[in-house]
Amino acid sequence: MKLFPIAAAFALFATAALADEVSATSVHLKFGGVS
Amino acid sequence: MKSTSDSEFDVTFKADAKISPSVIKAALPDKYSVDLMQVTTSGELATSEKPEEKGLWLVLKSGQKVLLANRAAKDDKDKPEDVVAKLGEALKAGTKAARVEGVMVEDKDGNLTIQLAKGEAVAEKKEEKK
Repeated sequence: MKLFPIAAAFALFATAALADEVSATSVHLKFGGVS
Repeated sequence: MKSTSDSEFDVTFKADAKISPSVIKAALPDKYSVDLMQVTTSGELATSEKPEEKGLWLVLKSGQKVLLANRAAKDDKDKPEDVVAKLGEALKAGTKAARVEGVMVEDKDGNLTIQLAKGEAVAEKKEEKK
């Protein structure tokens, strides 16, 4: 599971925005070090 | 949150969440680095009279103040749109709210810049009385 550490980290600190919150911030992240 | 490849993620944060490459990096295991952070966000356009804060800024709902810059040209033929000028004109015309898209970068002092791919002033919503 290559992505598990990243997914776990986000689960701890990132709060998903509510679906109706149009002003939410969308972020596309590209990581290095994933192997 | 969804994964778009082995090394890429799309994440949506609440508008008042403080985000930056260093915040993301701090939440990750040491072996990972943040290579690219592309954001789509909104806030209020602002200028500053402080000489060290020249340029056009976007104040996010989190209170973070981000400098707006046009993205760099990819090559000689690439002519990036002057999004900063467009947003500056909108601010002069009285529209503060804007939604922007671009790459967020952070310098060693923690100053944030969004290198704009797109940006548009948006009409401010009037609060409806219930």
